[in-house]
Amino acid sequence: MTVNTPVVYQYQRALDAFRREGGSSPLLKRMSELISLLDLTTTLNSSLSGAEILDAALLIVMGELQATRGVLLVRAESGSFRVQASRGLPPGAPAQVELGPLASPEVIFRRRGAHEGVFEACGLEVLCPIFKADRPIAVLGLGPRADGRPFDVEESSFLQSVAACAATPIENGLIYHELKRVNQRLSVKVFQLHNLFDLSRELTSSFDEEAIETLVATTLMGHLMVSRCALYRAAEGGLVVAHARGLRGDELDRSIPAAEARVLLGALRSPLRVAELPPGAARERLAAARMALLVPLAAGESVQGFLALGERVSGLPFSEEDLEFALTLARQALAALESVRLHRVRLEQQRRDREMQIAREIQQSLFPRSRPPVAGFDLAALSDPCQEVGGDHYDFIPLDGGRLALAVADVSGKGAPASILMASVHASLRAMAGSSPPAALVGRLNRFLLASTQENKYVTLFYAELDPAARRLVYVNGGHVPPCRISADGACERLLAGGPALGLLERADYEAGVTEMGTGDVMTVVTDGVTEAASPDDREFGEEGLLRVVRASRQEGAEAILNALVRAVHAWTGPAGCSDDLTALVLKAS
Amino acid sequence: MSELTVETRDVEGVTLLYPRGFINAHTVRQFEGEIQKALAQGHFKIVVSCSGLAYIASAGLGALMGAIEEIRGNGGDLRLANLNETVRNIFEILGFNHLYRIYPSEVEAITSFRSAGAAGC
Repeated sequence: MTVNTPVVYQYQRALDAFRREGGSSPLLKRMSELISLLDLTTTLNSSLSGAEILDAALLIVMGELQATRGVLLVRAESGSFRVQASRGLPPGAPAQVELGPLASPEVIFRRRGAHEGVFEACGLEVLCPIFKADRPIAVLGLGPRADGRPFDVEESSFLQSVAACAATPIENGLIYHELKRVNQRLSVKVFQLHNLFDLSRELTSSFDEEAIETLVATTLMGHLMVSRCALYRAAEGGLVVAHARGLRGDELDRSIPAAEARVLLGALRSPLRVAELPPGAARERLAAARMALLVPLAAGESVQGFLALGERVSGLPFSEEDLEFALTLARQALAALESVRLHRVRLEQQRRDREMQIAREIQQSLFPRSRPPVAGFDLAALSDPCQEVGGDHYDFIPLDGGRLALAVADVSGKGAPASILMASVHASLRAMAGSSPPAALVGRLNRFLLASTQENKYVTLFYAELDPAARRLVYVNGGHVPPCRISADGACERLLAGGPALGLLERADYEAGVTEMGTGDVMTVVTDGVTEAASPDDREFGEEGLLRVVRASRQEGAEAILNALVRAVHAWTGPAGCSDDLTALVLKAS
Repeated sequence: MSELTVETRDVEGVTLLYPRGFINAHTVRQFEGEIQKALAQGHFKIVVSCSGLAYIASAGLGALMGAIEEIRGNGGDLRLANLNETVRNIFEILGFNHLYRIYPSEVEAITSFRSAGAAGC
């Protein structure tokens, strides 16, 4: 058992020779003890591993004192003493004992009143505390001696010498163990940090929910040695499984009803063992899927779901560090998932913006590029788009005989669908203008739109044909804001003849109206972007506003009247700006 | 060059995976995909031969954990061979060496399925 046998051997040989020559005295016993101590010291300082050294040391002491059982107890962090090495302990002897505060390194004998429970349980006769720097670090215990002799003062002094020799190596062993433990924990921490770094780099570059969920689940499973994991997210009052790994499909309910979800989300402020959940359906459901730990997915106070993890395959409980790691990971995961969601919202916004841009381009391309000159008349028109593309439109179409068709239309809805319908109205009018009388033309257009558009889509249209020579305007008002003809004296005629908005009714009859344009008369056709323009205190600009501006500026040319109107509407709406496209057409008989 | 390549080979009814490079957050889905492919084909005797594996992160270990119940539930096992020092240390740090059988060489890992059946550890 000893490594340094030669040294001890020399002394043993000398002792044997002394005995052979008939020598006998108490010195022999002392000599034997010294040889054992030498053996012990060399063993304790040998290159064996910590556990082997302590085991060998125990055997040396047992051998010297001929004890039939022995135990080396080492003080644990908790203050109790744990069996480090033992021989011949009775079955059922504890692996750890409580010795209370040990005041001195004095050897303790059985049946003197102290520690009787420990003596009894381990079948010991004597306990020898091993002190280092006034602190007990271990206890050597020995059972009855083979020849039945009791332990007495002589053995006590030997045991104290043993304790003195063993104290430093045992302490070194303890420090070594502690270092190893700290080192192990440090390695785990370093590995954790590596993983977190690796993971966050990956998460920040990921725009795929599935990838994020896989990553978080596999990293947690690997780090905590768990073979099953599910990610639940709050949805429509309940919880649904967004991701699951290591589970068969039938082992997991895809969703948790609202009542149970409330219990779970309410209980989850920090990682929680399933066994710690309030008893009830939610706990049973998760336990049935063999889930052991829940880690909240929380942003601030709001818990938006959780990660459920199975038991550790090693059977070890989750440590505080495990929980902390899991929580850190869950936070990162939620942040990454949230950023994916925001990214999607942004993409959706960009798509809508692009669609708007296209719609606007369509709308702009449909406006006439120039105003055709009309003898004796002055003409101006403008369409001022608001943020969203609406469905306003105007057009001038030259007809034969120097006549001119004028159209102002407002298509229901906004964006691309509105601009497509408008394009269709534009093309139809261009194709049909002048081919039949205005009332018949608008009737045909109504039937065409009814057949080709969705039910809830409609168009208001003011269509007129101007004969400049006769100074006469034949018009049809299909549900449009009534245009006004303001005569030179300021009187107003509302141009109402026509019928309902187009694209709504199958059996709509349209009639035409006729109005004469005297010298100085001004006709204005606008869309509801003008009449319904709202002031900051929510009053409409209205027909009154329109009449006021036109009356005040009717001496000016068409362009100037139009500009005055636009300025007045902008002044009316104030800094809040428009809420709809603003379209106006001004025709003045000069 | 990609961070990870995984070759597979079948020898005597044992599926061998040869990951080369790094199994980390970036590559774990690829590694997991190869394991899942083997399982989908009903191959439950698997050896991951790691001579080309430079590093494995928790996510990679998680991929092994996620498959092990199914593998052992089907009477198979997943065993490892040829771990370099770094990878072996990672296994030991977390205690994976107690959950998975690790062999010094590929041949020993393959023959282990023959001699000791497919029982897990």
